[in-house]
Formats: sequence, structure tokens, C-alpha cells
Amino acid sequence: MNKLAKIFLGLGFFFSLLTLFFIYQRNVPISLANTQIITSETIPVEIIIPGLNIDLPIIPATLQKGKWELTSKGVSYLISSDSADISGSNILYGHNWPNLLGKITKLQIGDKILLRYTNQINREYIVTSIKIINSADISVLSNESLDQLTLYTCSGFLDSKRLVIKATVVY
Amino acid sequence: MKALIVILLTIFSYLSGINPVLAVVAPNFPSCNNPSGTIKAQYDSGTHGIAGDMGTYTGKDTVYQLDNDNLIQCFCAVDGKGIQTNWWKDGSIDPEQKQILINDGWNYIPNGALWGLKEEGYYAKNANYNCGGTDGGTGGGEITSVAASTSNILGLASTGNNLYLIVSVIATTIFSLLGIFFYQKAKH
Repeated sequence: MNKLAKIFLGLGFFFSLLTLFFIYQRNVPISLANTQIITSETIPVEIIIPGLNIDLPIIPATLQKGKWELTSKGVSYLISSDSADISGSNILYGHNWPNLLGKITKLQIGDKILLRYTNQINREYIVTSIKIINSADISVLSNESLDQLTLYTCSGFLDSKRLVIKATVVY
Repeated sequence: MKALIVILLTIFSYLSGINPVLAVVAPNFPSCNNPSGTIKAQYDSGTHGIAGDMGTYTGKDTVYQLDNDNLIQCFCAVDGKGIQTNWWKDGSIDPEQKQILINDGWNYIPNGALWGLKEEGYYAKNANYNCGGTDGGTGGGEITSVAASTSNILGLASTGNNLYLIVSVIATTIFSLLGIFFYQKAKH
């Protein structure tokens, strides 16, 4: 085997391992047990969507200088932002992987979303709107109160769009 | 009688030849060198956007809320070159008036929310001013802009990463095929 063949086959092997890792990362079940949030604030720590068998940990995240903190271990919950563009709160977002929010494309208006908070209180939300928007459309980030919830993930060709779910609290 | 008809025809033809002029009176905006209102956003440094301008600007940026509808954004670059943007909320401006404003140098911003303003249309007009700043600008009081707050966020979080997977699959295929090709070639 000549040197060039060895180099290319080696690179092919490396990228095949990388591909396998990406596939594994998107499909391995996310365990709540592996996540421990230590905070004195009352923030959501678990999101449950009964209709889609989604039960995921919520990880606090920040938005600083336009950079969104994002985790592959659950759903991100925006706790702070240096931007005046974001009003209200209850903004949740996560990857559109099968083991994260990939299934929320099946959500329908009227479906339930449950959030469990650090103080063990549960709040139930009902989906009120579902829309696909451009990734630059940050106007969807304005929630009027904690009674509203915005949940979004990537959508469209090469993740160029965002699927945005708005929900309102029931109790 | 003939004279009367001639006079009436003359007046009619004169009046019919007059095109109505649409008057659009823009509000008065204070200068960034002497701003007023309340500070809505303030950034002492950083990269900022200017409405109607594709470029990015580094310096100091302050936005003043003048009243419910109007704001001024005062950007001051490190070299002291300032850009004042007057923001005027679109009230009941009809399409013809809109065109007049655009011809007059106003940029129509369909959604102010993208600039940290209300989710309504705005007109924005830029003008240069000297803010005399040396390290982010000091002139014009606390100079800023509405754009400052928005320019920080370029969009929503990238929650896909499918591109990495696709690139990885393509790279695997290409490198493997090349490896096989050169292996076969070496064998012969």
C-alpha cells in the first residue's frame, strides 16, 4: 500500500468514527440522573412533554455578546442575557436531535408541556402557537410574562430555520 | 361670454396641470451633540449596527428615547466620527409618503424589534456628526444607538449541528474512495 492510500484511508477511518460519534450523540438517551442543578433561584429543571415521551433536564444558560450557551445534555434555559432585545423570560431551546427536541415538530396546538421547578413546583403549559421562522427573527423572544413559554429548536434545510413553540400556563 | 369661457378654461387647464404635493413633516430630533430624552440603551464599546448600512462599527453607542414614537441613536467611533440615527415610528404614513421619505434618505425598517424597539415599522435616517471621541467617543454626551442592543444578537441559537454530521459523512466517503483509488493504483 502506498503512502497516499494510507493517508486517505486513515482520514476516511477518522471521519467514519466522527460520524459514528455524531450519530451516537444524537440518539443516546439523556438521563435526568446525570444532571444536577445547584442554584438558589427558582428555575425550571425538567421539561416533560407527555404526548411525545419527552422528559429532559433543563440546563441554565446565558446569552452574552450574541453567543448562546447551548448544551447537548438537555434543554437550555436562558437565565441571563446582556441584550435589551430580550424581554420577559421562560425561553427554552435545544438541539433538534432525536434524543432532545427533535420530536417537537409533532407538537400540536393544545398539547401539554410540563415544567418542574427547583422548588418542586410543577407548571403546566398549553401550546398556543407553532411557527417556523428565520433564524435571525429574534422578535419571538419577547414573552410578556412568566405565564408564557417559548420553546425553540432548529428546523429546515441545513437548520436554517427555527421551529418556535409558544405556550401559556394553565396552572 | 366667450371671454368667460376662455378664462374658465385657462383656470381649469392651470389647475389640472398642478400635481398635488404630499407633505410629510418629519419630527424634530435633537442632535447627538446635545441629546435629550432618556437613555434606553448604552454601550461603552463594542461592535454596532447602523440602520440601512451593512457595515459594522466599533465604538460607543447610546440610544435616547425622546417620546413614545421617536428615538435617536448616537454612535461614536474611536476616531471621533459619529453617526446619528433618527428613529421615527411608522404611524399612518401611506405608500406615497413612504416613497417621499425614502427619497429623502430615510430607511424603512419593517420590524423595529430586530433593533431592540417595538415590533412595528420605523423610519431611520443617518447623519454624520463629530463626537470628538478618542477611545470610544466622548462627544454628544453618552452617545449610542438602538442598534447597539440588537447588533449583539445576530439570531437565535444554532440548535442543529446537522451540518457537522453531513460534512463528516461526505469526508468519510471522499477520503475512503481516494484511499481505495490510490491503493488499487499502487497494486497495478
